[in-house]
Amino acid sequence: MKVKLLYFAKIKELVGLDNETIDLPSNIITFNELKNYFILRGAPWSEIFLPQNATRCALNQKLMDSNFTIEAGSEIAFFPPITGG
Amino acid sequence: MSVKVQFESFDLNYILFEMKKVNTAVGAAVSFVGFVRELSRINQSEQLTSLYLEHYPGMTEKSLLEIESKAREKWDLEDVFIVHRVGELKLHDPIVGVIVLSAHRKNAFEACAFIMDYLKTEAPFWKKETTTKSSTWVEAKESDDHMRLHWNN
Repeated sequence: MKVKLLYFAKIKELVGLDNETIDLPSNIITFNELKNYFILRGAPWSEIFLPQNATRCALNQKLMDSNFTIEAGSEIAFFPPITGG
Repeated sequence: MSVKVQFESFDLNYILFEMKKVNTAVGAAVSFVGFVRELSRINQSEQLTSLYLEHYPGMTEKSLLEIESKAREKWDLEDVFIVHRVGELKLHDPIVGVIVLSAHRKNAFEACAFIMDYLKTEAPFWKKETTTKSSTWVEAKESDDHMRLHWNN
């Protein structure tokens, strides 16, 4: 299934893209599986999940704190901890 | 009620009086403005020259409206306005503005602080500082999380 990935701030610079649409293998249906897929995909994607980056994730523009199910057409964003205001 | 994400600067006092004009129930107005400071947050000895603000279009507006809704659930408020700038900002520029109008001051004071504490940790904005020496993304502060969490007690 196809999903849209968005990257912001430091993560955008790390990946070198602000967005990409990828076709996920059919066995990837949760966030944790996507994370493992990214780690296997290698740098720079694997680096998104290095502990020092403390990367946050949003599904369809909603901040997520735990594992979630991915659906076709989902918008999944990766970004550093928020520093506005 | 409105939230704005914009490149341009803003005059919070003008907006406040325009909002007040149309609401005779308002007895108190509290406003907050956050500015670009001179000293780098990352390296205190370096002089800041500019500040870049990035955001997540769509999610930003949604999260600001959600923060406003949370404040309205907690306090009886007449009106709320939140504005946050993005793009390249200079020294002394206003970054963020909040106006809360209510019948009495206590609700307005508390709701304004609440909105800022939530905005700091839930609205997807990121700051990048440029000093005379380098450009660096600002790291999140743990104290900001504590400020938000204290509202749950």
